[in-house]
Amino acid sequence: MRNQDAPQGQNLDRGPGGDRGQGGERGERGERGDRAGRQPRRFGRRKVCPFCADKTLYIDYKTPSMLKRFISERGKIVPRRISGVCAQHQRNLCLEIKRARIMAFMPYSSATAD
Amino acid sequence: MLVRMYETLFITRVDAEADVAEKIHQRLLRALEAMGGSEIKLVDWGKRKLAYEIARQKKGNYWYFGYIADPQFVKECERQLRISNDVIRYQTVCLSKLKQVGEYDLEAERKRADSLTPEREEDEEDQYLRRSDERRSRRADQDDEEVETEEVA
Repeated sequence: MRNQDAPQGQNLDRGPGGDRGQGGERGERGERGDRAGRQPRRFGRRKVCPFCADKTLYIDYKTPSMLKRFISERGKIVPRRISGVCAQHQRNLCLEIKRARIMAFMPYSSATAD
Repeated sequence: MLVRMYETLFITRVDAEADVAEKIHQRLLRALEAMGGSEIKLVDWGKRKLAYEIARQKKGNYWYFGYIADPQFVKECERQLRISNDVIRYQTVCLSKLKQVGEYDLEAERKRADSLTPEREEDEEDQYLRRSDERRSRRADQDDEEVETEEVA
């Protein structure tokens, strides 16, 4: 607590004993204590796998228009933490996108985002 | 006899002779018959833009070939496609587990094959053709109007 009122420069001035001076660490802990009262950051609506939600939606390499939703502008496969697809369907999707790439329905990569 | 259902998609050059797919089809059918398989259908998916160049081609003619056959036939089928200079890409996908020939409903599969043709994005050539069609029809409409005014006069 002794260091909390100290100017910022003193915290940056690291001693030979380690990256972080003892005082600095204590100061940070104090800050964290202030933050503890806040609510954790809320995220938006939980994403639902589109293929689980709609059973009629069939993942097929012959329908590139549907697969296009799951690749980036560069042509990369979008990770499921972003698209919200479940693990099983992401595996199927990945395979079908690769098949579509072989048949030139989709690009392996596009150098410029168009 | 235990067989599987397969589909082979292949792309032929746009500048190839018109009957190139027909010739390949004949050859495949002969081999298929010899190995005791049966054809579902060969569907022409038409000229499509390739997502990337293959053999310096920007467009290709897509063909869908569905069949039920012994797994050994796939080897022969792909060999035939490989030796043809006009086929620039092919891919075979297995659609079912090993089953008896009688378990397949060929008619239903034919209908399914027909319904597969994926939608195609319009490219510059299509746009040009469409615009010239529109222009022609507009001109035809104008001609009709002229005829009408003449009649009034």
